[in-house]
Amino acid sequence: MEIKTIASGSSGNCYLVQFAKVKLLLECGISFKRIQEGVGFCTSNIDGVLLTHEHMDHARGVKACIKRGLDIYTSIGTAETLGIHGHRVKIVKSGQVFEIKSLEIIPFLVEHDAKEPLGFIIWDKLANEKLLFFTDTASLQYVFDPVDYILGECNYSKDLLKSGGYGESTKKRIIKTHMELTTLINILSGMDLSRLKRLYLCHLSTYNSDAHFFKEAISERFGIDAEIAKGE
Amino acid sequence: MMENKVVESNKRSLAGVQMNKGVFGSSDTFMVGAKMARALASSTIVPDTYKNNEGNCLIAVDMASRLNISPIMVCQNLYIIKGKPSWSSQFIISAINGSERYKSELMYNMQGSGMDLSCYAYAINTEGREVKGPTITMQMAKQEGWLSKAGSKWQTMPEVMIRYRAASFFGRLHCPDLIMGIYSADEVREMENAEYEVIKQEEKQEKPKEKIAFKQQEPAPEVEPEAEPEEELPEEPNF
Repeated sequence: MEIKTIASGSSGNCYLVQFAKVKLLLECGISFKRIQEGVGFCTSNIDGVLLTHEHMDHARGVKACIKRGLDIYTSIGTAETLGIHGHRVKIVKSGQVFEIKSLEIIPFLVEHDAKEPLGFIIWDKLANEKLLFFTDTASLQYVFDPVDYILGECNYSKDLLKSGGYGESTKKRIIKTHMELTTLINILSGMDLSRLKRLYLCHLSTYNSDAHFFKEAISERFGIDAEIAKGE
Repeated sequence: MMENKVVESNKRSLAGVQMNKGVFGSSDTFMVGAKMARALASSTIVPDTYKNNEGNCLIAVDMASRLNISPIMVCQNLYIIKGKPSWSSQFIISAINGSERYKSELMYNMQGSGMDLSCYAYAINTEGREVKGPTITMQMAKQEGWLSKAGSKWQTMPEVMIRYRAASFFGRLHCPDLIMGIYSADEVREMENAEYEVIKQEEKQEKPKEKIAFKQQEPAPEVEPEAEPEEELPEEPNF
């Protein structure tokens, strides 16, 4: 499995994941032009786009993707909020498995101020590898199978947020809707990481995060070399 | 026949008790302060914070005695916001102006406009020296979150708020004794939201976690076939 970050952060998110025989986009929060650049102008061999929620830093390019013939997999709440419909919009539901070629995917609800925000766990049956993808969530209240790859949000640390320049209402919102470093560490502590090959930290805040510190904290705790999902 | 005579009462006289060190200076000052607080609390023309609240009134009397001002003035200008005492900005300015510590009244140096607006408060002390307070800017107001709070007066009357804030900073820096280091009411209101509650992980884990798992078994790993057992060779015959 190969994961390429085309964009990550509050200005836009988009990740290209190459499975054994399937290619997916996770999020389409950037212009279609940037998506094309990120995938080497080969959008026709993308098998689908998994869309977590309707915020523009995740869904900016969704209508262009639909126009260009990409299938969008998302929740009904997200689709209705974005006003997207048609045969390219595939509605998925939390807890219900769906398939994209040789992939089995289970969406799950996350904690964010969106209509019906989702995360996804993806099983590539051909390679027998699993990817856990979650972003824009304050926490995860699930027990997952052991996975091989994690692409997960680590948006801020509470010390940086407290001393940062955001107003108090923004700080409060961030606490309720985004993943803090300690929360992520606690979640990882509750998981079976014996199969984990790579951990990608995504959606780091521009002002309230410290990539080096986050990597050190995870390395110290789990002995894992986390990678920061950074856009091109 | 018994004669009438004057008997000295054993009751302690509270006449002449000095209150300038506050009500908690001695038992006498406390008794005097408590009497004053009872009277204030029974008044109908004090703010609601003080009506029928002898405790709050006692604090007001204490502050008045330390600052050598009327307890009525304290009641009208000392707000209790989430348990924290705070002065009205007008009181802070009048306390500085009336202190005789400065030859001039408190003045303001305003520069720029809109989001470039900045202001510092200053006064001329008795030696003729200009005493300057910290500079407040609209950028500071934005970064500190004063601007973004719902209903913030910074949005509707920024030129007034920036002066009030400059005066409050001046007072806390140059003459904290005049205002007992207390923040202005606007500052305390803005501070309310600065304390956020970190939800402890233990609280979150009370709800049992839902299991997300694929039902279909994963392809069984390839297992090496067991080696066939070695044949037992017959014993060599003894010739």
